[in-house]
Amino acid sequence: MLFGVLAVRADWSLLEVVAISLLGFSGSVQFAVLPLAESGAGFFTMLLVTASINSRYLPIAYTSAARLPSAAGERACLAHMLGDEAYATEHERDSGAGLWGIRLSIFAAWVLAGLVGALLGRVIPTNWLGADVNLGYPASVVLMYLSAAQLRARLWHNERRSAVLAAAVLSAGLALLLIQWFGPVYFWIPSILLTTVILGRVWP
Amino acid sequence: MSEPVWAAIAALFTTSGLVRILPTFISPRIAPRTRRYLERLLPAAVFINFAVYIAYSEVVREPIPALLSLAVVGAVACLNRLGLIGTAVLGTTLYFVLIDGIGRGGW
Repeated sequence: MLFGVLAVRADWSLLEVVAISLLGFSGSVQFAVLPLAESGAGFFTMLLVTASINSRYLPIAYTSAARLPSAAGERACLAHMLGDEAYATEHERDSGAGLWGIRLSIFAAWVLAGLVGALLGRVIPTNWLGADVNLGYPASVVLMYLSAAQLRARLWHNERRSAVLAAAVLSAGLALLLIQWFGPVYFWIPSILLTTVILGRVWP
Repeated sequence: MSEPVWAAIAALFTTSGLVRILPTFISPRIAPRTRRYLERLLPAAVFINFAVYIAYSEVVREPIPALLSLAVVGAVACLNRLGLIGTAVLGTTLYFVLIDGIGRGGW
């Protein structure tokens, strides 16, 4: 919803807000391209930025591919609707209708919320939206809950729980260092690879 | 219609094709050891990095409220004590109450 509000404030039309939500479907990247489009950046500049930020989907898409149906069109649609929240909600046993239910509901909610935000952005007076209010915080809370729940399911019942948990804590510390070095956009791939290697040393 | 806006939409759609759709159509022959990494270790690695990224992004903005609120959310999720909605309400309320408390000079 916040994206819709901000996009309308940057003179995007309702059609453009709905189109980017449908065809792009990416929270952080949609926010990232707002200032780029405003500054007149070209397609390849924006592609470089968006592909870098969303590069984390490469391993996520690969690991969740086995759950997808084999029909090409259905597979492509479900793959496009893959998001952080859907990946965190799904289980390995989910398939077919279950995947459609999870991914389509999140996708539709995202598109509709963007449209509602755009409509609100047209009617809400500018001074009602304080620049310092963190309207995106509830989304961070939800993603933190889903991540922690997934990690509990995967790490807590491990045969070598102490060692695996210690490796997870070490990996988290190194991820923080990599964010400092590479920034929050470019740390993903090196950090995920490093974490995988560290976990692989202790995970039976 | 603004040309840069439609370039942005095209860039995002191309990105979705490259990072979300394409990997699901490629199935390289993988050794068992590599498969173990991809199916068991990689997802856990992704979620560890998600958690760190979320915490970093929010702590940079509001250090104490975000740290305390997200720690409570993480603990509740690990203890499996409250559902998603309840935890979201709890974490968000705690965050804004702490910000309000700090703003009033109570910290």
